[in-house]
Amino acid sequence: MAGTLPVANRVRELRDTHGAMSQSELGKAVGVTRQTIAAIEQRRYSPSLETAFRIANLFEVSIGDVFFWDP
Amino acid sequence: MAFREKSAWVMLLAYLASALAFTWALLDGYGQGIAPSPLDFVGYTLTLIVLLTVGHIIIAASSPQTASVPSDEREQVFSLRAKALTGQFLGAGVVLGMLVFIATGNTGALFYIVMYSLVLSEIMHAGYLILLHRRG
Repeated sequence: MAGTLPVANRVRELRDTHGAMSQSELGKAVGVTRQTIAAIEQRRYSPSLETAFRIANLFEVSIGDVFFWDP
Repeated sequence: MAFREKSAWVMLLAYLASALAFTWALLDGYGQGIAPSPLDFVGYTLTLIVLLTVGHIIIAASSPQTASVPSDEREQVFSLRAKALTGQFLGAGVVLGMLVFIATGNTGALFYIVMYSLVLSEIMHAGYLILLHRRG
């Protein structure tokens, strides 16, 4: 994907498979704003390791199942 | 729009409006041969404080659920990047003001160069924050 960061993710897909969780709900659960979740999904922002673990733990998957290298 | 971005817009507009009004008054007085008064600067400062306070009250009242939430990691990164950039600008302005003072001994020039460096650095800070929020 041109103009985006090299860390891709499946956050949107995981939100959809977990009861169509909203960006606001996910953001509130992991301690960031809705805009930050949107930026992560669009690969405009790479989250901190702590937030990445929080997201993975929330969806009960490993961090590698959520975030992966895709330059 | 995130609360921090709204706050940056309030800062940008408040600094621009008050700085333009102050500059207009300064140039108007200069054209009439009137020396700048410390009261002009006091008026500028009070206007700025009122605009910032009222602006933030309005945006906090319009989105109370996000106003009290502390900035998250992405917003903190934006803030640090904006401060780093504008801090360098302010530093350069202060050094320029001191060099002018050393060369000319003009205390008025020193004051206005430092003051405008501060004001412009705040405008740059708010503008860069908005850009970062818009871009990513």
